[in-house]
Amino acid sequence: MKEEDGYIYKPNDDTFILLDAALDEVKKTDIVLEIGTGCGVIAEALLKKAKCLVATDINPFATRVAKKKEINVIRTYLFDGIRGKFDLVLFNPPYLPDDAYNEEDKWFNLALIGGPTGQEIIKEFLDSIDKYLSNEGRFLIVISSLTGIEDIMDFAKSKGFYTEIVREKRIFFERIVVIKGIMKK
Amino acid sequence: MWKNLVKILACPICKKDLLLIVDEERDNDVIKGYLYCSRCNERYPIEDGIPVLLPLDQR
Repeated sequence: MKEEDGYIYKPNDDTFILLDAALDEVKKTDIVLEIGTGCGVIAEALLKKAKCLVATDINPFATRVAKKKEINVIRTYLFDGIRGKFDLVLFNPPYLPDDAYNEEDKWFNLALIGGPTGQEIIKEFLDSIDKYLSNEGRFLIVISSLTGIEDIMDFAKSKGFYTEIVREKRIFFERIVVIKGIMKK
Repeated sequence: MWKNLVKILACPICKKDLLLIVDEERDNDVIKGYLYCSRCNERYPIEDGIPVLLPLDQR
């Protein structure tokens, strides 16, 4: 299997906005989990800034690239192969609605399509993240206006999180934001 | 796969802990082996140092 045989999401505006927010957020004492690391750009940048970092991706081509960067990488879906508590969880989710579906490449779809409305995988993530956060744990996720920023923030609130927008960028007609979530005590 | 990582790994089906079986290792890094769930009687491979924690039909 060569890397070019399969699709790996190339770092883009959404990657860099999350990276910027993560570099601001991470503490030396943090145990960090990145879900959907792709080729590991964010995980690599945080390796020496956290106590410990673990990353996951479902795409075998992506996990191979991340492994070469000395990242502790696991091939699994969301939190499926994970247990334990983390201080900081990062996720640049597939957030496009399924009208962007590409018949040719399933890895392309897995990296970009978040379900019929684009919200499904993000909601699945928010449904279970409380089990993986330490007492003071927080998460950072990227959301686009194409997904519905308010919808996702309302959903996170309904799951017991305080949320705030910590980064924002406009790209033509799209607005992408990084949302930080902390569990309400 | 760093050996200590097994502490935070779970069976993707039942979420219980896994037993690490090492076939090949280099400097505390498991290159080849598998993770075994005794409850599900399922083996999850470690391929080129990467644990694959997916049910068989999703690998």
